[in-house]
Amino acid sequence: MNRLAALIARLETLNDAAMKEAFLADYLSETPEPDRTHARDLLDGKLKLRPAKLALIRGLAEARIDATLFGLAQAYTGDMTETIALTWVPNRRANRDPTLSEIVEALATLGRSELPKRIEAWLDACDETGRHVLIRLITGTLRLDRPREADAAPAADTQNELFRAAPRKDTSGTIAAILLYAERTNARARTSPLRCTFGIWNGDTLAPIGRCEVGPVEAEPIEHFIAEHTTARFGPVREVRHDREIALVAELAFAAITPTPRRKAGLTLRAPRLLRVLEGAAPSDAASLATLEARAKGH
Amino acid sequence: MTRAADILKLTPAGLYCEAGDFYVDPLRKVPRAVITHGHSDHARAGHEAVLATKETLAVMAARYGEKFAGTRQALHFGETIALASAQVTLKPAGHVIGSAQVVIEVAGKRVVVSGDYKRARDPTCPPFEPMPCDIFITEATFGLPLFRHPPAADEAAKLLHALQLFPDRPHTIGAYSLGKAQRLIALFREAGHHAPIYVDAPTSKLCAVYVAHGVPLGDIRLLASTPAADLNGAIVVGMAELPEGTNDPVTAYASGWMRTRKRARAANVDMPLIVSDHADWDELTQTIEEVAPGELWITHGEEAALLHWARTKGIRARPLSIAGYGDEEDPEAAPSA
Repeated sequence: MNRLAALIARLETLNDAAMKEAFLADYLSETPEPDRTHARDLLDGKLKLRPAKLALIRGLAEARIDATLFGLAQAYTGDMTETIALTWVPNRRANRDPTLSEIVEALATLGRSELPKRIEAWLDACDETGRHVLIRLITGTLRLDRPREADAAPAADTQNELFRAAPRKDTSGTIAAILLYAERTNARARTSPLRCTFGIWNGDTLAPIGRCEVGPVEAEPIEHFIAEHTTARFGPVREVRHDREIALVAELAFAAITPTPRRKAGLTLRAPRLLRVLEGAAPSDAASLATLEARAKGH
Repeated sequence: MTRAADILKLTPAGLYCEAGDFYVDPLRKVPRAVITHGHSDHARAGHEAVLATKETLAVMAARYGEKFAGTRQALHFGETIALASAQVTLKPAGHVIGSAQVVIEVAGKRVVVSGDYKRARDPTCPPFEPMPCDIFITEATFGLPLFRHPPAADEAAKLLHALQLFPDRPHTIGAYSLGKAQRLIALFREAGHHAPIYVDAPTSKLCAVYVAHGVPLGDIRLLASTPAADLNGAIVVGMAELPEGTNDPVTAYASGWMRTRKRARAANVDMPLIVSDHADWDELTQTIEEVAPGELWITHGEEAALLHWARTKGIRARPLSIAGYGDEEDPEAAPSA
């Protein structure tokens, strides 16, 4: 299960069809029958299992962990399947994790009373990724389609979680920019998204070039920075430190560069979104207005 | 009588030791600072006097220039120095090169400021040494029971496996320029990958510090001066973009936050790698049990779960507001002293 789960996790983060196909082929070449056929069927969406209830598995998990800790973990992930998979502390490691064929057979033959013990043993034997995929598999929430051949276009009409047709980096560009201001979109909630204003260097000052909302999970490094480096408050808006010595640098993706002659920068990013905080980047790593102007002309 | 709780005070500039008249990892410029490690939120430029390990001083010089402080003093791991009526010793923290716990003793009471730390193996720095103490001041970056970092060598192996599958593509790894980058490079070398590894300029400067202090990293080359064709089939570490003209890259990002699916997807890379230089949940709780403090203070991170855990173990625990969230309902609340 662990190897199959690692493959599925990998397919879920890959965008490139050729790479998906290569990882899949590599997995299948190392997988003996009957697991290989079962894995193919699973990826083709053809593997039918009698699903187990998530409530049953949740009960097994809750019996093993302090309720407050479990609740805090669930509040963080927002995904019960993942919470169970990640907080599960194995009682003892089995010699090996279960194969897909063993799981398929057990689900087909075991009676309701025998099932919980078997699931518990499987969870003990798997690693974190293995547990996560296992729970999705046996509760019927793992919906997959097999990657097509490398040069074939994906079918647009199928429910295709693994193989969305989105092209890689569907924007006209990315840029390293510096956080100037941040504002919580809901001042009462700790975990509401942040509305962040970013700027780039114009000589020794920073010119604002765009604003975007950052979800609570992605905003965590920004929250830390705000907590340490707020320099001024204007109502709900925090100004953070942004100078040559200390600043938060982030990579933004954007749909276009739009001329805005009335704004200080003269240019604005259309539909900017945060790709990631560049932890460890120096303020001087952020882009300059001259670079953005050159890129705007290049379009 | 000195109480352990009086040895360090939380001030707006950070943790202050009155008996020794110094700050630990101050947030602002101060007359005297003891610095745990070189990450920019702990090591700032412009203090009048800085005491740290020689490696941390070298990191600060590489990042901020030679004039990063008025005066500086290096302390070996295990060496003790008297600062007024306080005895100060630095012990390895296992976080990045030179990273230290600050052990402060006043009138027979001991406080340990752990700085950032981890317990997992790291070929680029000596391991954390647990020190029994009256007050242990810990981070809690990954202070939730869902954060369990896998062995970093396994994550490095995943990248090397991809390199076998795609020998003509550059393999880029987004990684913190101090610590994460060098640890990954060292792990690749241990796994037998001896080809040149390309890095961006900030990472290169810090790799030089590691090498100068006896941590071999093999053949490291600067990305900026490399022809695009040479990057095909090579590992590139850092945050800089690839030059034009390379094949499509395999992209990776190395962080402890890659543990959850949401964060891994948000990273928008082919291969999220779970590699962290911070203690995970098991390491945090193991460490607290080992140092068995009379009291636990938590500087920053996901403190709620760790506070709860400590209280269930009968350990007095309190959150500090350094870099932490204020009161959840009232973000304007002042830090508790």
